Amino acid sequence: MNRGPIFGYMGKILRVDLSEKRIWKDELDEGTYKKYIGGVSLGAKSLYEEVPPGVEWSSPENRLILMTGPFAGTRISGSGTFCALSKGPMTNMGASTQANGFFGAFLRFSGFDGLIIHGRASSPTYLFIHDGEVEFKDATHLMGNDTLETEEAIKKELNMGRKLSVYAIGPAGENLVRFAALVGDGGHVAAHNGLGAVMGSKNLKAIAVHCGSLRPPIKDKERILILSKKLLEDAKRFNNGRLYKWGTNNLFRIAAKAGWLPIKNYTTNIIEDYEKLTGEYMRTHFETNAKPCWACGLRHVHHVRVTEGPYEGLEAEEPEYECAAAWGALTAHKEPGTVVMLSNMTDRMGLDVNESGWTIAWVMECFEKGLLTKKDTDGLEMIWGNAEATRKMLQKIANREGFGDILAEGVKRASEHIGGEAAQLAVYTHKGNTPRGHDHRARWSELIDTCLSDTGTIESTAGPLRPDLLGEPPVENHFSPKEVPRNMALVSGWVQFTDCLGVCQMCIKNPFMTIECVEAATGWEMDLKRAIAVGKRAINQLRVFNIKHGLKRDSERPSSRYGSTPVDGPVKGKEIMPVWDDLVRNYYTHMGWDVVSGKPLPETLRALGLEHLIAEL
Amino acid sequence: MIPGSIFGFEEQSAENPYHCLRLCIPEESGSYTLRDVLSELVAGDEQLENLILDRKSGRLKGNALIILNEVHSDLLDGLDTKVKVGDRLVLLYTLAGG
Repeated sequence: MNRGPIFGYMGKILRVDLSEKRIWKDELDEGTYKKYIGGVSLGAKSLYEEVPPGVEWSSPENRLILMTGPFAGTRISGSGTFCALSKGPMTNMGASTQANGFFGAFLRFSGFDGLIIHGRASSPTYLFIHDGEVEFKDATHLMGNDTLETEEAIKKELNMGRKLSVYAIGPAGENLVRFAALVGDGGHVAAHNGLGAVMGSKNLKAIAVHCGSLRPPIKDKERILILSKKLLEDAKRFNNGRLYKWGTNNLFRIAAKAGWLPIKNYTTNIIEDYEKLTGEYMRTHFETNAKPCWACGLRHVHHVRVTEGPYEGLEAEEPEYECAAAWGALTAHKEPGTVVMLSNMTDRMGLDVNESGWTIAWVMECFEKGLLTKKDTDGLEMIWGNAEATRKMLQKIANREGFGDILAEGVKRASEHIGGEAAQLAVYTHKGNTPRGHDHRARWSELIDTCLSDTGTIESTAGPLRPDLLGEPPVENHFSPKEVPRNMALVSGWVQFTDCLGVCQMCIKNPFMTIECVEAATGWEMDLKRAIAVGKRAINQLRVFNIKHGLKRDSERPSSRYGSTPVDGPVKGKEIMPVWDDLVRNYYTHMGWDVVSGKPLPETLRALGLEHLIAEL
Repeated sequence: MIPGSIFGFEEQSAENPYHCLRLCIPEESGSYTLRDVLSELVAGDEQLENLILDRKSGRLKGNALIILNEVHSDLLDGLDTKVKVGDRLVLLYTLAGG
């Protein structure tokens, strides 16, 4: 008997077993969708249920989970997003990371809300998903290709052009570099916690999805259209229009002034002569064209042609803030075309730009201090701002050649391998992940989040701590060990809720309109409290997963450099480590976690409908 | 006179990256605070007030911050920090990166 539509959903999750070359489709009931919504929350449920302790990130029994949500493929701006989850190689625990573009929308148009990949292919393979079916295609001829070459080759091979979305791994993923990323749709990236390496371990080079003819059933199409326009206008105006006008790299100048730009591996908080690295400069001096994602009117991503300097003529995706932070401030490259070149190289190799930046910056500081020499670095002169040496080292990392093989383990493991004074200079958390492209010593909320989250990146915050966006009073002192963790716990859940929806975070800046959109898509009642509970469900589900997979409280702290005291700039002298235990204890308390172990308390899990996890702890 | 800059506003461009302010305060005043400066700054400009201040609590919104003489105002006395002639003030307006 056919059931009626579940509004907001295609109703099916596609399963692919690469070992057996077999597919099947799970039909989910409305209660499950309502409880988990989609994206990170639904993915975390599957990860928890299907990947038990003892399964390693590179094991065929690990899952690669790509989930969309009720917004994916609608008229809401930026609704081509998907959330990727797995057990990740950087932390050897839960991973959740998002990518924009078209893939999320096209997966829904092929009939699925999500894709779960099992097993390991016996030979290099790519998947072609279309019309509700899957073809297992030989990828032997694509091995060694970078991500953009792979995308182009598959589009040509299948003769589908823009009707196809392709996410691929580059050499980094093939060579199991721990911070390999999934890259697709011309330069969008699911970057954190090494899911490209997970894909590589499965012998899976790429996933191609056709823009099929199916569409998600929407409860109130007219209301969605009206709300989509309102959300877009709100996003265009957000932060006084700077994102719309200059892209995410409008932040460079602000970060530099505020003291949270990461400069030369946290050795200083003062940067000179940075105008050419700003979004404003690149958009007014280079040739740029908007390159929108699915249905997007915000168009924060642009294509760029470099018009000056040593890389004049290079065409690539415009560097976003994270790229400019890594290849401008962190590694002291001054020339804007260089930032474009290195960002492009990072994407092509299939590397996470954040981890790449921290790793190269650490090498440069070690080189400056004489802790590494050209003998160690395969003859490359790794001085600050050496663009060609950086480019070559990225290639070495992606191919695990020479010194690159050590760096391919990520900066935590590489610095521990070198040892001595060098080990004290690396920026990372003891879980194994690294921060986004900021100096979090000037933004404590994100330092805490990076260390305590269960995703391999942040989960409670996204940029400045904004209880005021949810109708609460703003934080009065951003360095208060009481106020900061309390407010983090207060907003915690909202960001993860938005990662359940299948939409770009840049496009849904108004929480209340976003909630209205969920109601219009699904027909369900939704409010802020329910939305935050969905997000907190994902956080706690992943936390229990991590505890079962070896998370210890002692690993929830920054490396000595990450938690060091700024020597100059606007937060000069402000120490975080003397209050670190207070920060953690206060966050645990407000999250409803045991203050000693960090385990979610039974009443916390019960309140979120996760009582079945209580006995597991 | 307090020289100051505002970053993060729409009218900025590569050529004119920030607004410059010159705020007048009483020369001998020992009790003028950042809160007073902001009050004067947003007086009659509801749009600016909505961007940077939470009216109910009187606090800076979460995406606004002040650097006074190269120091984050939260490391001083927040909006109760005393200001004096010649202080240099930077008001920043920010969001997340991508």
